[in-house]
Order: sequence, then structure tokens, then C-alpha cells
Amino acid sequence: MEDSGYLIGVLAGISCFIAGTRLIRLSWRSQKSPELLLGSSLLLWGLAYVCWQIPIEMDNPLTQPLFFAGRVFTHAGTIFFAYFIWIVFCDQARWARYLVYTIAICLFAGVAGSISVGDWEGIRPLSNRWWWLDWTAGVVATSWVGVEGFIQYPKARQRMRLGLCDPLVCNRYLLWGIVGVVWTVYSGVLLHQTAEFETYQVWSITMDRANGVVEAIGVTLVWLIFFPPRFYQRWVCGADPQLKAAES
Amino acid sequence: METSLFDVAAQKLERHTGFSQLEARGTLRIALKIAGLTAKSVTAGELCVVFEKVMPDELEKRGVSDAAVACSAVIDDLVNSPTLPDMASSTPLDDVFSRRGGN
Repeated sequence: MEDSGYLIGVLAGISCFIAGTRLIRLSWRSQKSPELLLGSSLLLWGLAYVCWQIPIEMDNPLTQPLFFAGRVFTHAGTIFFAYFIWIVFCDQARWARYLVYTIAICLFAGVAGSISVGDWEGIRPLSNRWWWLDWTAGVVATSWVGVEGFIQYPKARQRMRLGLCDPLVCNRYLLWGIVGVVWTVYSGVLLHQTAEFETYQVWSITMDRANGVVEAIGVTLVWLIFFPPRFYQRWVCGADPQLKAAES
Repeated sequence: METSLFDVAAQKLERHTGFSQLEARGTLRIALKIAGLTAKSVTAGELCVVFEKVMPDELEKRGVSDAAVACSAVIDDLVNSPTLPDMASSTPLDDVFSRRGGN
């Protein structure tokens, strides 16, 4: 694997791990479940990155179990994430609850079916039909947060104009919408990369770079959501024309 | 059945404008939608802002004379109501995301 792609993967994992840990600590103080759910999902995804990256860089006899562990951590994080979307964005609506159950069932079934055909790592999309089940469930979860983010963003802007929503909070809805798009694109890149690997038995440099670019964008967005730098906060709070008009 | 904050506000609007129950509830829903809010999760503070900044225009469109006076009366009733129901039990979405960031 190309070094830059590997480095970005490591950074993505560290970012998820740090963000997840901070959110879980916040949940201890706030006693609120959204923090715990989102923190857990990010923490699990951070662990997944570790499992995926170690075998890629080194000749490791534990490649298969580490890849499998990475897959399990990824799917566990996705279930927590879907649960988070349900209780936060969908106000615990019944249809959303069933969607969470469906995502979880598809993830479990995809892994179980893959194991039954010998694809523990989930790297044979062309020959393992079960792969598509958990891949699709993951795409549904990531695109779901994007849809909800883009639905809530214009409403948040309306609230912001009335002084009922902080500009940074409003911006976070937009960022969640974009994150959903980016992670969905990442799933598409991963599909292409995995299919290419199954065909040629090599991780191509082109796909590594594409993967790296998408991961870098995703990592940047995660940081902007959870750890917005001061210049970004100033830009968000100062750039809104509605706010400027209201102040003048 | 427990009366929600939306129900109370709609009743106050009905009383101060002469609207029917259906008209009052419909107008309030539209005003909330304009403000990016929902009937289920709106808080008392948000309702006051809606009646202050959004509802006067909506009432004027519907031919209510002294729309501002009617809105002020509703706000006073809401603020001074001894039996005002608790805020919606679900956590406001903005509150969740204001806790989310690295603040």
C-alpha cells in the first residue's frame, strides 16, 4: 500500500479514536445517550482502522484475524451510529427504529454468510454475494446521516435567523450532511478497490490514493464537527449574511 | 390526555384572535414551520420567539387586526401560565449538537 494512503488511514483511525474517547467522557458528565452512542461508534471505527492498517503495512501472520476483527469493529460501530441517528435525528420514530434493526440484521447476516463461504475478511465482493449485504447496510447508514443532515440544515438556518440556533450548531448539520456524502463515496471507492484486489490480488496505487483523498476529507470534516479550530469558528460565526444584516 | 405546549399555545391564540380551533392550530403549525421548528419538540422559549417575530406577519395575512397586540397577549399568557406543561421531553436537536462539538 502506498505510504500516503497508509498514513491517512492511520490519521483517520487516530481521529476517530480521540473523538470517540472525548464523546464518551462527555457522556459520563452529561449522562446523555447520544454522546455515548456516537462516541462508541467512533471508538469502534478507530479500532477498526488499527486492525485494517497493521496487516497492510507489515507482513503479518495475523492478517486474516486482524482484517476480520476490523470488519467486526466496523460493523459494530455502524450499528451504534445507526442507533445514534435514530434517537437524535428521527426523534425515535418507529420507521427509523425498524431501519436500525434492518441495518443490524443485514450486517450480522452479511458477516455470517461471508464466514460460511470462507470470506472472513470481506475482501471478495465478486465471488461472495453475502459481502453485498453488509456493504449495502453500511452505505444505508452513512447515507442516512447525510440525508438527515441536509434535511435539518435549512431548518437550522431558519432557527438561526430568529436567534434560536447557534451558527456553529447550524454549521454542524451541514457538515453531517457532507460527511454522509463523503462516507458514501468512500464506500463506493472501497467497493471498487476491493473488487480490484480480488481480481488482481494487489492493492493498486490509484485506488489507494483515491481512498486516501476521500478518507482525508472525511477526517477533516470529523475534526471540523468535533474540534473546530478558532479560525473556522470565527469564519462560521462571522460569515453569515443574515447575522450581519441583523446586527446592522 | 396530557396537554402539550403546542396545544396550550394554540388555545391562547384561539382566544386572542377569534380563530377556530382548526385555524389556530394550523396557523401555529405554519408559523413553527417557517421558524424551522416542530410542534412536537418546540420549547416555551422558542414559542415566545415565534409569537414575537413570525406570528404577527402570519396573523396580518389572515386579516387579524392588531396582530402585534394579540401576539403580545399570547406571550404574556404563556409566560404567566401557572399550568404551563413541561417542555417537550425529547431533547432538542440543537441542544444535542451544541454538546457535540469540541466546546
